[in-house]
Amino acid sequence: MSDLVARAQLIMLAETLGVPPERVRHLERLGAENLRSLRERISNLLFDEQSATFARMSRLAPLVPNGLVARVSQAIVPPLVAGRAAGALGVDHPGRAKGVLSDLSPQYMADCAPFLDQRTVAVLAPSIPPALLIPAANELMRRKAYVTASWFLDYATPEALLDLEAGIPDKAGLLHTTSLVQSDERLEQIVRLLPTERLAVIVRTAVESPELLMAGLSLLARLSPELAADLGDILFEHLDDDGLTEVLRTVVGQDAIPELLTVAAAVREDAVRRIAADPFLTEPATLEEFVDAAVEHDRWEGLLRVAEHLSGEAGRRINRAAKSAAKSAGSSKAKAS
Amino acid sequence: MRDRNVDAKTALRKQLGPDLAVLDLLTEQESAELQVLIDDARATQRKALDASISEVLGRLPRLARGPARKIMFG
Repeated sequence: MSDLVARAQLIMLAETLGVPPERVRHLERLGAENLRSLRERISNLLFDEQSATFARMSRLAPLVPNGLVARVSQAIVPPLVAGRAAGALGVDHPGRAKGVLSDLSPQYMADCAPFLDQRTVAVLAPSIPPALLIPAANELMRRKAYVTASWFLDYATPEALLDLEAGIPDKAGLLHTTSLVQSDERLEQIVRLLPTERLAVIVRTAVESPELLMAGLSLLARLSPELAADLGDILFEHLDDDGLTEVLRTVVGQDAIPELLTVAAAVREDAVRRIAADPFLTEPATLEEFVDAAVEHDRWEGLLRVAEHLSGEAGRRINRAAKSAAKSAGSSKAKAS
Repeated sequence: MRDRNVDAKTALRKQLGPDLAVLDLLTEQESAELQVLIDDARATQRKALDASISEVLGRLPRLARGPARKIMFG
């Protein structure tokens, strides 16, 4: 599976540059963290070189009432400009941000969202009531603009996160959005914040489509083992046997075996036993795919747990491969030292 | 305006910061392509801002237009 978070950063880089993602697709190899630092610097450059203009615009604020700002903006200011200017104006006039936002349509706010300066969002976010943002967040979900929505999660306060989750009925969209949060640490914080029964509803949407399954597995594989176990169990309990086979087929087809093995290393024994009992897993071609993925990504823990429940050649095949991988790793280590 | 004699990676470093490690991972051609995209984005932003400011000033209440123009253009 190509790295979902890196792909999200690539889309954000393209949005920052105002080009289709294909124009920068070749940079995906740089990885999520590098793409993020590159995008942030470019974004800062674009904002900072207009800071004098934004400062002058800010001095206009006392001349223009909130209603007029909203009306004129929506009528004639393109989202690129409104988004770029909004942060600077909001920071200079924090008391007015609420008033202006409440007069803007959710559609216009969603149009402007990709162009906001994230540095100013971090400053402003705590003072904006979530009720003002929920309609725009739902509009982003309707547009499937999960990448844009995801970076708001980086800055939302705990109270705002709970309100946003409650106010967004599209739980599949929330799963997509949450899976794109950049930092693993922040992702863990967000997931820990939500009550289990609300998380369960989100996690269960993972079985609705291959894309959602990829988002769900990517998210689970980035969590601490304890949390991945809790949520992984919720996911596996929701699957009947046919559903589990379908998941395994999707995982192989979408190149997501390493993520599944990470989750398999964490979940409780029942789920591991069910994976091992799935007839698709023990097909020789499938088994080879799993062994190859474990070799390539060093994900033996999950596969060895599965192997404990396999009898006959399938179990022996995995154990032989694991021993051989351990031997090669040992000899490479010895050579290196 | 960028000095065309300076190689693309050096120009990018100057614009984005000498400590930006990811630039080491770009080829010279990728650096040059990225530089073009950044220049285009800057130009688009400038044009869009200028056009919007003129339009917004035209929509302000008549009494506010003079002071607003003074603030924006001196």
